[in-house]
Amino acid sequence: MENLLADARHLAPELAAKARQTDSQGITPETVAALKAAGFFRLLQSARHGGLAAGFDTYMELGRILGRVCGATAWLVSTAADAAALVSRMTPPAQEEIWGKDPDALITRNHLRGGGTLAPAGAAWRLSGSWPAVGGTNHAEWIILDDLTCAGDTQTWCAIVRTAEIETTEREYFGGLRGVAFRDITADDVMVPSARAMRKADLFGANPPGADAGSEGPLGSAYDIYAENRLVGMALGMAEGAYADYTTITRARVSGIGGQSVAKFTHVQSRLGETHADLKSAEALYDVLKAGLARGLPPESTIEAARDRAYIARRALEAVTRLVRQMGAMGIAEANPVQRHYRDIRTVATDESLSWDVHMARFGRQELGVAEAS
Amino acid sequence: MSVTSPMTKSVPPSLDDLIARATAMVPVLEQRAAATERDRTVSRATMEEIHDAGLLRYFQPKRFGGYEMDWGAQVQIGRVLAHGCASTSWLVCVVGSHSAYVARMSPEAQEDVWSGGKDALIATGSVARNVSIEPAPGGFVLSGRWSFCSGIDHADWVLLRGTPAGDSRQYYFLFPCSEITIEDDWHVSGMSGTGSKSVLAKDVFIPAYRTLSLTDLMSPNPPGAAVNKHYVYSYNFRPFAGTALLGPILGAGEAAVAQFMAMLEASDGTGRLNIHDMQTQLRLSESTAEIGAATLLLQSLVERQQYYAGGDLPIPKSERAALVRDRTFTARLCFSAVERLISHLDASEIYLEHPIQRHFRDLSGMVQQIGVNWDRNMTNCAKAMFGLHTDIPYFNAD
Repeated sequence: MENLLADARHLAPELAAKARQTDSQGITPETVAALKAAGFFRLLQSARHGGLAAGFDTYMELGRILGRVCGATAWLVSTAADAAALVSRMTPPAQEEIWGKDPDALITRNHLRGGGTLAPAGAAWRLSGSWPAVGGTNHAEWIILDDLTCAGDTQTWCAIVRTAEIETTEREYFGGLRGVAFRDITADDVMVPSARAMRKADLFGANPPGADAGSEGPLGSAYDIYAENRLVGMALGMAEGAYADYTTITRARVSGIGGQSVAKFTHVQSRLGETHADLKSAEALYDVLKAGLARGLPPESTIEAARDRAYIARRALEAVTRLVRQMGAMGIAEANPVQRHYRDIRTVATDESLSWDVHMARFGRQELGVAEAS
Repeated sequence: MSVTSPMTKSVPPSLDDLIARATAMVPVLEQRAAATERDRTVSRATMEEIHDAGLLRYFQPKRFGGYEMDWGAQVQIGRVLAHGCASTSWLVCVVGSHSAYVARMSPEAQEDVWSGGKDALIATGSVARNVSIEPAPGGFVLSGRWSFCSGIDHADWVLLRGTPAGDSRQYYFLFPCSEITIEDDWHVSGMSGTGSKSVLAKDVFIPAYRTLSLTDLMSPNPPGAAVNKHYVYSYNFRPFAGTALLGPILGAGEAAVAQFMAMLEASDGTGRLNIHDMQTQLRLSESTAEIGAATLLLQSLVERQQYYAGGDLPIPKSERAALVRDRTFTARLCFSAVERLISHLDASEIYLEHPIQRHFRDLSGMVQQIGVNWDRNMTNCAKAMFGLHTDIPYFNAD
């Protein structure tokens, strides 16, 4: 797995050079081809279809390395790798249909809540529904859709469909991770073979249908703990990337009024110190979290791990915010990489998995012995 | 909206009238805000409506059909407009206030801009690159590139700043926009609709009467004071500078808090964002307290400016620094109020472009402006308190 991370580091300068273009025009097919060739999308894919079946620590590190240079690319790789883990948890016939001919097929999934229905159609299903702001549909061949209801069942279902079978609509969007090209999607009466629809609890729970007996980690254990940590490495990476870009720019920067070297201002020096401390403390917690996920977190540690994750994200967000705030008018220029990292991390940090409110209070409840509301 | 053309109305509108007209425009500005951001400029229709409503005449001299309102009128109008669109507010409040600059210049320059009671938007270009300003018979010849010219797409005139060869002082040069070209280099996150693009001038002649040194423009009794009697044209302009930024800043802050409250009202009480949640309650109260404090501080700031200028009183040195400090602090209060709320929102509000995101982007853009730059202003204010030399010349002057 070190080779794969080394490849990511090797590819990073090229991705950094393209990051501005990626942000304004989207991830290009050439970039996707390079990422595919590097095997990044297959990081968590089961070995049965030639995947690397790597540990989640490698997944987090890959997101971090790519996040340092290009948030949108990091997001696409992380999302596709995570979706490949989910497909590896599906039944063998489903995996065979998706990867039999093309084991490199790219898969995405929805993250914001949408809704759809599965209606019986003989031995298959007919799927209809809509999901807002789904990323990666322009490059993915397949998409996993969540939040489905199924006649006669009270549980939530998921299904995987071909992106060619759904409608996508572009939306006006000025936030971060623009290169991902978030689109609203609609599925209208799409035929889904029974192997490609499943109860969410079966897909996400321990010992899913696609797992080899006794397997652990992202392919065999309950998946939520991994899904919840899919963004934290990327968030830390974005902050580290912003820090690197900021220091490079600031070493050479001269104030617009007065023509002084900005690097000589004490407050600039001091805030850089604070920012570095933010990143180092975040990194220390991240290393603990990563090691825990590599080993397999015991259930009694998950609430504390989630608190750490929210804390890491907060440190990273505050670090980038502090840096961009010191850049004057250039701080808002879209061509400024620190501004891009800022937009990206602000967007990533809104994910519930990184929510300060949710995870701080939950830890407090655990510590004080207050039961969770049902 | 029923608006009488400014030139056909015999009695000029009061500030309350203009605020009412601005308020009436808010819904349509809000409707257009996403397009304004995408197009990186305010629409022609919006500009026409602004002119029709007389919203750019608050500092236009009465001799030219203007209203000669008190200092601070623009801040109140801008604050209201920002509830719909901060970029539009910026054009009216910040760019629009440049009328006072022209009204302090020579009567001939004023005739060029406003003769017959014309409407005019006057942009400025202060950040210059590769500029050459050579004296020529009867004036100067200018070439160069000036950045951050807010509203330049709709401006009729532009004040470009620079130092002529053989001089050490900075001057403003007033050009009709027909004589310069616009370079579309404005790609930003926040305040995108201000269209603050660069302008290029190439060997353009400017007559001397349309130039004025920055010192003379800002000092008491500039050339225009001979014909325009309001204190806005005759009093020292230095203590006024920068205040106009607070109109759109406070307005955007208020608008974001209002959006947050609307989300709470719309909540069915089941999600994370609901008024029964204690963390939400704390944050809302903290943020409304900050906006409330910012409102009062801005009111005090403008009242103090009006007091000194209206009475033609000298401003003590300590008060000069206090005006800058309070301006900077007001901006920070507004930003902090909104940043707290934004950090509390769910992913859907960012991906689905809830309007609060735009208000936050705009506020983020505005607080990066040099006029409210925390480090520069606060360090200079402290130096001024101890009588030390500062980077703000007005603090050092006697």
